[in-house]
Amino acid sequence: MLKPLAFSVAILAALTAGMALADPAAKPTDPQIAHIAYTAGQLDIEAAKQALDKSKNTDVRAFAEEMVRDHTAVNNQALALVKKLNVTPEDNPTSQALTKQAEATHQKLAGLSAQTFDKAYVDNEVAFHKAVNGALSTTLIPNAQNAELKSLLQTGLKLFQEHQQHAEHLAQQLS
Amino acid sequence: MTLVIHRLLLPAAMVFVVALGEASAGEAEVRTIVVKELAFSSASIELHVGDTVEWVNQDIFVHSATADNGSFDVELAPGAHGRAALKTPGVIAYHCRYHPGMKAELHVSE
Repeated sequence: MLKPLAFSVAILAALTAGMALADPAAKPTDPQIAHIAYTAGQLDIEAAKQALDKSKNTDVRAFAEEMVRDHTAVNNQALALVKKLNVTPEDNPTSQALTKQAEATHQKLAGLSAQTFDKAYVDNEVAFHKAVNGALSTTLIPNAQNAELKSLLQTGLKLFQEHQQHAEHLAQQLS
Repeated sequence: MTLVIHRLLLPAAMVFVVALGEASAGEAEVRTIVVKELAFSSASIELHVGDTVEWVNQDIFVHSATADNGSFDVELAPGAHGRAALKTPGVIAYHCRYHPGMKAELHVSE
């Protein structure tokens, strides 16, 4: 069984470790911030697709469909923005660590039965959104230089907060 | 010539009077609530029985306006709008099914 707290700590570490390791004083640039935010959205879409493959629970499936729909909408807007600004999102250690962590989680969840999967998926959604909300609030939004990027990140934060709340309700139902 | 002008003006004058009559009779209204940035524009709004609420979704996300008491459930695709007619007085709390932090109220009087 996965431990949501451990997962949350791992993501928090992933979100901050990359740049901290490179240079403790380094702040993420706009191209890096765009890449991290986009990656977080894509990873949540991938997790939702796994849920849609495995889960038979109506509420869990509805939540997963919402994750696909909402994060696709934000990421499409992010792509349009970086194109407009002529910015190329820049891969970075934080995005890489997030992706690596998500791949490990995907493997662990793949081995669970449908019933056990539901609780583990939703618990991890709570942890994931909580961790990304923290990173958006304390690192990504404060360091974003472009006003439009900052505004999109703020919309992303509101969305992630709503998703966290929805996931928390769902986790209570499944307990 | 005068007759022609009168013939043209008379229907316009009648329309004006009818419009005034409708406004003064306190007829049902359509009240708009914008949905934007994951929030309903009016957290609380005063209405009357017979009025209609129209939600206009200006977000890039799918939302809903779903009454806690089950009296309406309006799905709102991005850029779309939807309506609910108010038939009974009282306070109706409603929320978005997808984003549970989005909450608001309708205060409906007789």
